[in-house]
Amino acid sequence: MSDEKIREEAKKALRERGLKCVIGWSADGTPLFAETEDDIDRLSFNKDCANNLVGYLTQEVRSQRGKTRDGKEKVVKPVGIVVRGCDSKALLLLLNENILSRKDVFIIGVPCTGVEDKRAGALYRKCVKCAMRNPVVYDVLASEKVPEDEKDYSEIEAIENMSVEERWEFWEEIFADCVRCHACKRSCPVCYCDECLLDPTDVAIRPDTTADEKAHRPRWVERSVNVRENLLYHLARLPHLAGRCVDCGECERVCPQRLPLRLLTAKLEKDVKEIFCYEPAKEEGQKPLIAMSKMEDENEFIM
Amino acid sequence: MSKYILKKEKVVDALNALGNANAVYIPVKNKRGLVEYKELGRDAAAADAKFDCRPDVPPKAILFPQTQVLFTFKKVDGKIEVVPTEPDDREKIIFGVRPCDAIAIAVMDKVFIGGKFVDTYYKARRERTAVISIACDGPADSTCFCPSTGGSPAATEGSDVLLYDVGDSYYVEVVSDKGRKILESLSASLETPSPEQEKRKDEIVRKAEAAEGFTRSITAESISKLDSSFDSKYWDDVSRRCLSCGACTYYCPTCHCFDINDEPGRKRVRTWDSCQFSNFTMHTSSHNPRTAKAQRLRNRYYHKFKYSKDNTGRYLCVGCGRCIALCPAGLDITKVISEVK
Amino acid sequence: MSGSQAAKGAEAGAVPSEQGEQGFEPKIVAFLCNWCSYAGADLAGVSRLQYPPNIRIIRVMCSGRISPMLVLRALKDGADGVLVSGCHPGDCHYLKGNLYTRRQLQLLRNMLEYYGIEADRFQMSWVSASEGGKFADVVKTAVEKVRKLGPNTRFKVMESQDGGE
Repeated sequence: MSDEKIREEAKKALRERGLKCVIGWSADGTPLFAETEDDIDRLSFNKDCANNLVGYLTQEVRSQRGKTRDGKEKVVKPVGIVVRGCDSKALLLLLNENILSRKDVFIIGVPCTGVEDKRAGALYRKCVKCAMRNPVVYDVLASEKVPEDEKDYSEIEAIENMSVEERWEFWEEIFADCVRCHACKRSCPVCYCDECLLDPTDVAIRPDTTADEKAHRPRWVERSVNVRENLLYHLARLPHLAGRCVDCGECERVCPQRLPLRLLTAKLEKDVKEIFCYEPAKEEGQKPLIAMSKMEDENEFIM
Repeated sequence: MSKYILKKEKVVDALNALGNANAVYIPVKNKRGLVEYKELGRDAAAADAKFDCRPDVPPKAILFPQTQVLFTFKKVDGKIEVVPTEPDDREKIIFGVRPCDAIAIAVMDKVFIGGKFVDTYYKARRERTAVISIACDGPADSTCFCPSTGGSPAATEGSDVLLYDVGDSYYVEVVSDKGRKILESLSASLETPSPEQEKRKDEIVRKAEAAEGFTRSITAESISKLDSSFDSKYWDDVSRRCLSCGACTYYCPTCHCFDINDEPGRKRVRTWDSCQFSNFTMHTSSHNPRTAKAQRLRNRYYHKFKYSKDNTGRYLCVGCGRCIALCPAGLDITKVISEVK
Repeated sequence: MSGSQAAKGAEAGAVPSEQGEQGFEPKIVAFLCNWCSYAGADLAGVSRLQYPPNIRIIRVMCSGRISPMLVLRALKDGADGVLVSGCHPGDCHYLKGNLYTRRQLQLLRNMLEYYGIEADRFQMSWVSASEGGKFADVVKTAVEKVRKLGPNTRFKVMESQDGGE
């Protein structure tokens, strides 16, 4: 039912707004970049559509940017996208951070009642109790809004109640299995840097970069894959997501080792909410948490 | 060729017997439900061995660890002194390998020790490793496509012993001298096969030869299309959804690219690398021949199905299907190659 | 020139502690901002105030320069504790650098604790250029807290996990 609405709106926008393409899912749940009306007829949304597509949106918009030979800004054709509630939060964050401009995107929202993990044959853990089932930013909605749940932090609280030693052992056991394929950071919709400090070889090198400069690049995380480096790798992701991570759970979904990465991101989100009463991507035009400051912020932990 | 029967109830005892003199690696389910190879006695118990599925993680890391310290160095009286790492000289047995992974070991042998330059680190491990495989009774997973790449669910290449699951026992086929020696130490647990068991084994071989039950395949015809599609726009389209993560390469039983770095603690370390990472081909001069995602993805498929075939006569893909099962973006190697334009 | 003099002054106040012969002596990396805390440390030095010698000072232009990565890297590389010190809120030479860092590092401190790294291994303080006495107190408190926790073994590599053969 919502499939027809998605297709109808996508076709209309393709014609009227001159979209470059519409990013959505095909019926088997794989991402689909629909450029023609025939492609659009394959768009669908069902329980298998688990990928967060917002990362692709940034890619499609950015690849069009740049200057023409005579120094003018290139024309960016708007890109269409189908988003669930959690995806739309990530998208709103990118809009708020001016990575994307509202006029460059056409958003078809689909209220979502949860998607299934094919490997487990059940709903993803993040979908069982979800506080963001309805899109927060959209041009059209493909179906009626659905009721949302309260955010469930019971797993986080269970870890908080462990002793410090227990907690370290808990994470040590988990990250001993990480192979550092970088799927978590590559799939993150709000990670858009060209170079990343989490991979010591992933640095921008230009023709004028000297050998000295290359040799003195800080190597925050070594290439060696062992528990120590893995722990640092996953800990180091967090400050970069502070006040930005919307807890869409994409990192956890893509992890080939099935590591429970949301236990970290959900805790971050919880802290941000409790300490600063801040919720990332709550409304349009919101300023980033880390780019703001207040004299009256908590000062108690400081000597 | 010698043939025996190993009753399934005796497998645990046999594993423990082997474990006395060797480091034995068996597939076991980990906490998160992933089946991977673990060392018997150290990380796993024989009773937990899981032989009824394709392990999610290939045994590659046993021979070619993800992180390997090549040597350390220290300064003595102002001079640099290199300290080589002690080689792992334990005898190793990998038990319960799938035929595709065994073939992959043969492929890796060709890369690391089969040519003019011999990788001493790999050689030291490989020479002390025996492979005991279990033939698949039809495809082990819906993503399997080994017959398309020259393999078979009952292939013997790369194995020292091949087991066939014939109901309540394993039919044991000796493939190499190394395998014969291992079985000699197990002679107490072995029996002679009955005609029914012979028949059951022949049925598995017949099914394997007919490639029965496989839903995915790559035809030679579509692979030959690679010859003319290097500059095709197809690669731009198909790579659009690739995330440039390294899941496909890290879980591939034949991917063997590595990177060498000097790290704090004065050591030189070799780690796996992936052709899907953007700086994989970065030159010192700052030139990068494969900056675009499409180029990198294309290279993976060309390396697997064309370059290696041209250079060594065989595909660099054994059809295990792990990259299909694990790709976060749902890229399917059989589909990508079949639809090459 | 003035920099090296200041450095000498800042280190001069540090005296070997008496119980140092036996027991654990923590190593603490201290990031001090150029305009307030470093000057405060300098004042402690020239006023001959005594504080434990367990800190290794790194002078930065502003506490706002302290990236969480610096803290993490210090802990990973074996520092027993990290101290970040800057100007009092409202006194920042760059107006708001310390306020930004306060937000980021508070979240980091929480995440460290959640990760199983004792929160006291990472400490912050505000010390102005005139607070030599406070600086000595801050160092004393920080060292005592870390001493109680014992050595930082969290990121110690076990050889077998390091791909060693």
